[in-house]
Amino acid sequence: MHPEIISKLASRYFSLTIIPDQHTTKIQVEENDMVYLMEQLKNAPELHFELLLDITAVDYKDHYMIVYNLFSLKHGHKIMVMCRIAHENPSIVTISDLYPAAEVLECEVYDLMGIEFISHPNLRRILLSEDFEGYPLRKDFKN
Amino acid sequence: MPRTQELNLNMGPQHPSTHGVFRCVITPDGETVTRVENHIGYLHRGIEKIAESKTYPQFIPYTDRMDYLCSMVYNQGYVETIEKMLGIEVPERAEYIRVIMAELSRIASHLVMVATMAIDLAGTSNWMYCFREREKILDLFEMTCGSRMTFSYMRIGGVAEDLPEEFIPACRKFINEFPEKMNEVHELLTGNEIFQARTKGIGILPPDMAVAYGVTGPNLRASGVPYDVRKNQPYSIYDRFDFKLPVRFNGDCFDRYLLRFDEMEQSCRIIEQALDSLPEGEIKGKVPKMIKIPPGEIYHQVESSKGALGFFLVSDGSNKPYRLHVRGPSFVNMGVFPELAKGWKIQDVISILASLDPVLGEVDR
Repeated sequence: MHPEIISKLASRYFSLTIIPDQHTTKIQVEENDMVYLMEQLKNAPELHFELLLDITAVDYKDHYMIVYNLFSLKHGHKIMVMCRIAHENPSIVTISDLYPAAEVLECEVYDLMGIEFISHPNLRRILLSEDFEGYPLRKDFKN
Repeated sequence: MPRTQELNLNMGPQHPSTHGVFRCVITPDGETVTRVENHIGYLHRGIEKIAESKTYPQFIPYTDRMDYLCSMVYNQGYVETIEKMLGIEVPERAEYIRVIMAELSRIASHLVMVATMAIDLAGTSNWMYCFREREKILDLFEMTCGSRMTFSYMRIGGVAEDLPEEFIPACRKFINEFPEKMNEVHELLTGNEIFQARTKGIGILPPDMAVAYGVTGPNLRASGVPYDVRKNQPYSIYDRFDFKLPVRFNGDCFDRYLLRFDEMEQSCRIIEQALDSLPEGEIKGKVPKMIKIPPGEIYHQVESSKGALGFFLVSDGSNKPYRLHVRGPSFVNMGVFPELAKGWKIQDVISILASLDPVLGEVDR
């Protein structure tokens, strides 16, 4: 992806940082700006990331990192968006109204990592049973 | 006063047309489906958690067991992720062998789709024809790596073993005979009036809806969106082969079915070219005994027979992944199923589910 486009985007968001990486375009954004950024990424004509490929989360013991992977069919570029959230009662706003694909992917993150997605239409345990205790992908999970 | 009551119809998990253990609850209004709710997870083995306690090479066999119908591609996706992180050069010959194996796997997987779709719609004889062809591919795999289903054939830096002498003639024979065998299926099934009545114009997936729900692979291309990781973000040596990206535009069950044939044709072309230009040489690159990956993260994608298969890997510098996440194409594709099935008849739900071709081992992981 063209570095100019992304630096132009970065100038619009105070909290956006570009993480240098040899494989892909990688940006990190503050929790508060995340939804606005996603809207930009999807709707701005020079970005046009209409395909949400993946949502996942990583437990870094003192914080969680939510990772979004997007692809633009129109321009053929991809981007990785990372968003750091607190370790205590982790939650983040859903993007399922922007990308319907997020609905199942966020359910998976909630199920296995225990991250609440605020205003998600149907957040439920998708892979594990309803009465399962704990979130297995957390680092402090004990069977 | 008699009143109509809402009825919930349970389908699965042991239903023969759910291709494994998938359950959905259908709320019909008469014969018309008004709501569908997916219930998955019956095959959940916690593969992502298991990855955190295995060294990098130890995890390869687990990748087979996600999509057991197209496992070579899963092997390839995983080892390529590691190679990209380490910057390992893979020998030319190994890359060619990988492509041949991956494409054979794709054909085998699409054959299962075509066979099961017919069987779901009560056309049992087609099953034998498709499985007869698939058997030949499994024989090719068996002579190469000794296994017919879960191969673990690809290794970090190359492949486990070189191709045996008899592989190339057997593979060429298979590729040459294949189009004729597919004509048999076309004669038997594609032209069948009942089959067409149950698939043509049924379960139409519009392109914008497909993209919004993150649908990838043949299901997306049957809706007219030309996205294929092999073309859009070429990996391995796919940029060297001359093959078309088949696209169809109706987005119904029939198009999704036909697109699998177009894809198999193109896979045959790729295999043919790969066999023609297969170089001599090493099959495994220089790989350290103890594989330790420098800290960082990567998201690498390959095209499986179901769609874009992604591996997201976080390394902390040790010999085990800190976090490994798999983006299962069927898992995301299934997300569109409740929306897609809405408004169709109960019998159409079977066609729609069969045409989406999920594999539950990968949906549940």
